[in-house]
Amino acid sequence: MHPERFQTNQVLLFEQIRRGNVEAFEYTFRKYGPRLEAFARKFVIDPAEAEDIVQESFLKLWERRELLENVSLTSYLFMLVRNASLNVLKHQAVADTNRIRMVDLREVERLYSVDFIEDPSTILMEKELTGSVDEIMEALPEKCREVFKLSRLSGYKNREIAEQLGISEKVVEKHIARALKRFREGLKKYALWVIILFLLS
Amino acid sequence: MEMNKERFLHITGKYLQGTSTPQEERELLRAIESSAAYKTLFREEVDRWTPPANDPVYDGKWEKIATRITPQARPEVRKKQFTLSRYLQIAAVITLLVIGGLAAYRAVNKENPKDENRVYLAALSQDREIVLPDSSLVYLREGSSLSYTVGEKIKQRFVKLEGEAFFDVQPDPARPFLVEAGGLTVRVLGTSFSVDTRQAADHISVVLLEGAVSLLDNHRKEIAALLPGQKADYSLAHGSCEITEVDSNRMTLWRKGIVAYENVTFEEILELLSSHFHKEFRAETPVDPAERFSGAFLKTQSPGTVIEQIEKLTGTKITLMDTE
Repeated sequence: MHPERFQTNQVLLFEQIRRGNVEAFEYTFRKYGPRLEAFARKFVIDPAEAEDIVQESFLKLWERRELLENVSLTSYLFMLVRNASLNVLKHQAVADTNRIRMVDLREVERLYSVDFIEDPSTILMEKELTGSVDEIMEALPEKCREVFKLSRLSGYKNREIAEQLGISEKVVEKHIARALKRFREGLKKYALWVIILFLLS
Repeated sequence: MEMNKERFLHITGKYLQGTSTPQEERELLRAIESSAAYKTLFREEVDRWTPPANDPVYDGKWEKIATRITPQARPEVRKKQFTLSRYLQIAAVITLLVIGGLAAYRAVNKENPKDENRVYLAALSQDREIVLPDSSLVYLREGSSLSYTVGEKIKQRFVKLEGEAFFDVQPDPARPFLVEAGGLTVRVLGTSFSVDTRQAADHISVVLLEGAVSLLDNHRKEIAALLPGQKADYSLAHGSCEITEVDSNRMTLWRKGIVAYENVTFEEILELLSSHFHKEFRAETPVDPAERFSGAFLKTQSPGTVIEQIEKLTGTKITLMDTE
């Protein structure tokens, strides 16, 4: 028996997403969305809030798809949703503390961890990597970041971005190239990390 | 006390849809953490689960995301795409090629003398899964055959088909994938398309779901090029081709994928069946435990059809056990 024969191959799915395949992305959203929303609801209670968290997480995934070479698709999604949920919880008014206390969040997480985290040995590296992506993104010059988001998140062509911002297409290209370079440089060490982990396993 | 399998699968199903209660999740967690078998089963179910095709609530949620990532798409065009409810099942992105009318095929195509570089494969009494040199997969149904050319200098991937097959085409922009069947050649640039010849031996339909396909007549002249969501109806006799928009539901079924098994024992096939259909099966007569089988079936096929196929393959009658 070969169970792996019947599995949704996460690696292939992520590969398709990286190539900008919207259908693969839609499939991913429809497949993992329902239970990620259920997970977020345990923290934030409000279903609309949970829906927003999951939506923003998927959008982040789409925006950063080409930067996440050594990360597992489900781990990343899970991390995003979890972090966003915890953030909201921290800032939420203390009105529903009773309900929140009733849910033992750590125990509940265990089930979702088994589901979303295939390989716990890489989770630390993945956490660091995604943290680095956040940092690098924040550190980008404002215009550069704006152009990157218009291109990678919103899907505008360089020509359209140039029109929208009133700059030349060449400048748009330069901004994107600069962003990609920064990401490449900043994330270089994680490629090595993956090799080391592989050799140690 | 260990949870019974039926309940385990039931709760897992609810979990995957995001509708499990905290109590149920605790049960699930306990089962997974106390039994390696249940943990494996959980992971298998999780991987196997496909989102439902008809979900207006999720359609709405997806619409919100789609708006953010493709702002330049015209609203009408996008709407069409959503009614198609298309999914990409990476494990088995299936391309359906159904050819009937062997007589028509033979009449239109004169067989070339056997080429040394041509590989001929046939599925005689059972379905078989084949890997082509470019890593494309072909699920050849019983009674069908195909041939393809091998060699280092191949500029294009060319397959001739007689009978019925599913293709999972590896995208390769440098080398188009061509399928010739029933006097029509389909040139594939994407990965998801279906070709169907109906009872009328000269009628061929091509439906494109994703990617790009162009249709060529038997002089290799282009008759039509399809956009995703379009269907071409081609008549061999008239050489005419009509293009229409496709109706989704009928087309999405075969995209759900196939389940393939290779060189497994009969016991393993029974296990496979029970985990796939969530029912227990057993053989009516004893089977040689050393004997091995290979085959495949569609995930959308009914248990009856699949059982029939496996009974033919293994030569043993299979019955459904009653579950409590």
